[in-house]
Amino acid sequence: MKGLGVEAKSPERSKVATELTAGMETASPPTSDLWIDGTSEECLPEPSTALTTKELPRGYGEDVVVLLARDPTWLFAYWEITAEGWARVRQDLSDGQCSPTLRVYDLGPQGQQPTGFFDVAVQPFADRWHINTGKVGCRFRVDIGIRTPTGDFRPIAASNIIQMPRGRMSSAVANKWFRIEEFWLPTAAFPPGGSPMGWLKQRKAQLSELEGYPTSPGIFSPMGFGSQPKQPPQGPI
Amino acid sequence: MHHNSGYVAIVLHAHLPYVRHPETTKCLEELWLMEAITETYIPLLEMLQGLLRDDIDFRITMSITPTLASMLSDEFLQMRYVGHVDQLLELAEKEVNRTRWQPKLQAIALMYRNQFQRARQVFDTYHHRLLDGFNEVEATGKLEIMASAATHGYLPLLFVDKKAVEAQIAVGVEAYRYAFGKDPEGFWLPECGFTPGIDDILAAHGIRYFLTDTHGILHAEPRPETSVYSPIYSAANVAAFGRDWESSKQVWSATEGYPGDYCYRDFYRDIGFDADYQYIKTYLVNGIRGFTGIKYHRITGPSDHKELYDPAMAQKKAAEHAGNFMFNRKLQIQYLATQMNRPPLIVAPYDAELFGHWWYEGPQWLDYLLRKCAHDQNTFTLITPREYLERHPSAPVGMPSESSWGNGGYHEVWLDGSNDWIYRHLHKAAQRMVKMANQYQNAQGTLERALNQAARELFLAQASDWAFIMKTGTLVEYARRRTQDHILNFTELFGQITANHLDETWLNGLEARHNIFPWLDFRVFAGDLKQPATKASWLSRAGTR
Repeated sequence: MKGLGVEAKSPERSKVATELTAGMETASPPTSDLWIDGTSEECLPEPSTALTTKELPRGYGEDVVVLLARDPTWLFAYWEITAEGWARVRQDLSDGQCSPTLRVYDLGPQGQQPTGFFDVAVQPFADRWHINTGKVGCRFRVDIGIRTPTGDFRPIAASNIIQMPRGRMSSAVANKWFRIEEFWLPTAAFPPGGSPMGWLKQRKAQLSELEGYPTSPGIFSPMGFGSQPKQPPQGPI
Repeated sequence: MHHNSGYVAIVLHAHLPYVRHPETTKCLEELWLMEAITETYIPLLEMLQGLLRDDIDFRITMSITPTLASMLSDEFLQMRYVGHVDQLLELAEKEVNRTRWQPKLQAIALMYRNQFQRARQVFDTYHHRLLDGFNEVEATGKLEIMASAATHGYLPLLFVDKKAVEAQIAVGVEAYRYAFGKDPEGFWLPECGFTPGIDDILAAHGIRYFLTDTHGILHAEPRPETSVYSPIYSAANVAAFGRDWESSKQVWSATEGYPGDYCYRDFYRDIGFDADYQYIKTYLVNGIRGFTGIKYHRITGPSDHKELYDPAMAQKKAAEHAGNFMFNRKLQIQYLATQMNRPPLIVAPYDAELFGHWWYEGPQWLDYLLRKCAHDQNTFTLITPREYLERHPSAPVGMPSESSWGNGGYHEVWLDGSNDWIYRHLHKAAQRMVKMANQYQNAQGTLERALNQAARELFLAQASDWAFIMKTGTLVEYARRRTQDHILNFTELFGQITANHLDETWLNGLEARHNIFPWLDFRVFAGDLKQPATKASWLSRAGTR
């Protein structure tokens, strides 16, 4: 689908006459009516299929909140709160006194029980939210509920538990005979059409900046880089 | 000099979403398939046949997804293609005539006429069934075809309900059996989207291997000492192969990648946009300016100024780039072989549609590459993942990390502000489908048909393509409406089934329109897998580790 995405871009139409259209005009027989300007008849894009114009249901009549991991640090939650669910926690308060809130529980790297939480105030009519946890590799769950003027949190529904990706290499490694830190280097393959010697020089310069990191620099093997690690950089590629 | 010190596996992922609109006479989105057939699938098939004819010792791996295989097997779409290519031929003929006083232009027009004639010929040779062609090549053992998920569902984001992922995989495997007449051994995870637990499901279906992006392996737990240059075995004993970053970048990179070379054909400059409207409108979909496939210019440079395309110059460049690619793999392998206690393997996966459709010279490049690898070097051997596992059954053990090959390496392409609204509905529909599958196990007749159609609608809604298109911001309306359409159809069926009030006329129409997987059994959502394969058969082969 990547190709499709690329393809789907609208092409830039050239503003000036080009060799192509010039060629077309020259090649056309003088009596031809091929190049009558028909621009005024051009159609505007419109949906080409008979798909629905109906809208999806706003909800399914249940109190629910579901959590997804988007990347190592961001969570995504969507929810639905029924009128009954809302009334159950609102009790004696007015709507204005109830702030819809997501309570995000941090369960640690492997835990089931919360080691902490933080609250995210969400807009009254929102039904989904992206949440930055500021942490990687932890487990989370959320409750959707309300916060009262006195700061109490009254939950309406609880989510599933999500394990966030670690987003970096594991510290556990079977043995050390091959090092993979090369992927943190600004490596690139030998460019087409360039000079191999120029390329080697460029790679050498790149690698010397990273002296101290263990490397297995792929195509750069004759240069024999590689020494003891300081600290491998961390983060997604 | 190293002699066959390692391996290179080229993998092409061929996929298009299920787009079939018999309710319209001509449909813009169906053109995705028409163009891909002419520009990618047929050129690739011709290339593979040429390699066989010349007795080249090559290996290549392809995934052909169930949606694509279904479309290629669909008689309605086959007839649409015949009409499409005939019209292209007519246009090319007009172009040859129109450019008769412009030899340089006419040479290009003749090139297209020739290409379209060959496309028509190949299509006819296989009696419109291109899959037969790929099957034929696969039978030689030089092409390996992988399975994929039923409708390219983005599995990590469907995993909230494991049954939804199980059904995508089970039906993907079943679709492979229908298309290729045997059990699959490899499985292409849509968008390389992996999360731990998917490996269990693959193993239950007898799958031996899948691919992840580079960091899927680099971030594995524990971290494998062989980097991405050897597969690793997950806890479920399925092998995971990681994408090699350097070979990917050489082809994919927008700035340094081969396809952006100034000698290559420009994708955007198309007579569908350039030609006089009256002249071209018959060949446009619904009279709307768009691509026709006839393009006379080369990329030339970063500006709007475009020179005429020179096929000979482009061909020479494709050969040069193939040589460059091979040269870099040789250097990589020569180095890596000194660092590993096994021959290194470089896995280079690409979208198949890049070749020919977007990168016009892509199939030529691949042709040169496969020929050169066979004749011009002896540093590495081309291999398929299955063959590699047979030769090297032992591998490090580790759980690949959650990952995808999308931008950012995780799920943000399919889960951001533009498309996040779909998951509430996809998850709810899957939950309802599982419930119905358990509740109506003994359904027969119209009820069974309604349940099967509900499963089809759910699968079609789950396609990762819709979220992707919403994210990229073009043709968003179509993607949004496809998602809504299938969810609404599902919801309507759910309502009718649970109320025991089926509208058979409506169901007939729906079955005719959304006809993917005619053999589908909704009970797959109840977890009633048809003969789940045992792991034992291939585990014994990997037992030496």
